[in-house]
Amino acid sequence: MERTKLPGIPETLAWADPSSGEVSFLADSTVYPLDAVYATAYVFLDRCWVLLGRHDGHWRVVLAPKKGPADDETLRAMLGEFANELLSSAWRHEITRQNRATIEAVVMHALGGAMGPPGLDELEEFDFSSEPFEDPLGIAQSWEEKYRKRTAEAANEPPSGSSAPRDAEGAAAATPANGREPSAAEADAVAGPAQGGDGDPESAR
Amino acid sequence: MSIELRFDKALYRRDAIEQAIAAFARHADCVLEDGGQVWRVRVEARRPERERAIAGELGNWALGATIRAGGVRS
Repeated sequence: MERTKLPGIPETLAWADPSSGEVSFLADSTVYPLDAVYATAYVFLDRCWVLLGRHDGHWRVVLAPKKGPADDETLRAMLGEFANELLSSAWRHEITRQNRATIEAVVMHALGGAMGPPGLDELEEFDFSSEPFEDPLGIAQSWEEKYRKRTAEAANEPPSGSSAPRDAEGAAAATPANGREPSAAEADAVAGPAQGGDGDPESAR
Repeated sequence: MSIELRFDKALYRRDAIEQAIAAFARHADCVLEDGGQVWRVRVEARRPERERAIAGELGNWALGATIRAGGVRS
């Protein structure tokens, strides 16, 4: 086996073998994960014969062009492309590792949306009695619920402004000022003339 | 005349190598042996001038099948 140095590349990292038309390259296994080496090698399968190995804490990659001359310049260019692609693959691998949780969440949402609206069978099995989701702004509230709530609030509101004297008059009419229980005549007077003296509507007719 | 290929067991799947050997059985006689940390494959092509190309393609096939299977660890 003949071993020659490639111009501009340290011989400890890469060397060529002109007799077999191959170039060997060592990639630090602590810097470049195996998945990145696999991904890069896969890209080169159509134009090179690729053989992977291990050597002293490094991945050893042997490349041989399938077609064309295997001179030093060709081998050096091929090796440079492989090294660039390997660096790119390693970086993509790192980004994927860092964003794995985000990617999984986005994919899950996309798959959930792609399933489409539920069918009648699914709606039949759906548990509508479960607790509703949090709705602090009242967006999910129906018109009836909202209207009823306002009416109830209005009824419970304390008197204010011009309505106060009228309410006070009503209260004074219903309850004597001395705090005693109203007599039957007083109660009739508050109830109005439609009722008879004994309080029986039938007898009043 | 024959070529010996050495496939590291930590990088190549045995089933991928067997698949590659089966794919090139028409073009070469291939023998798979256990070489400790490596799988050794001896390739002897029916046409000697094609031996280097067949050995190279067999190696590519084994690597591609290993990668498509998710590597050795899966």
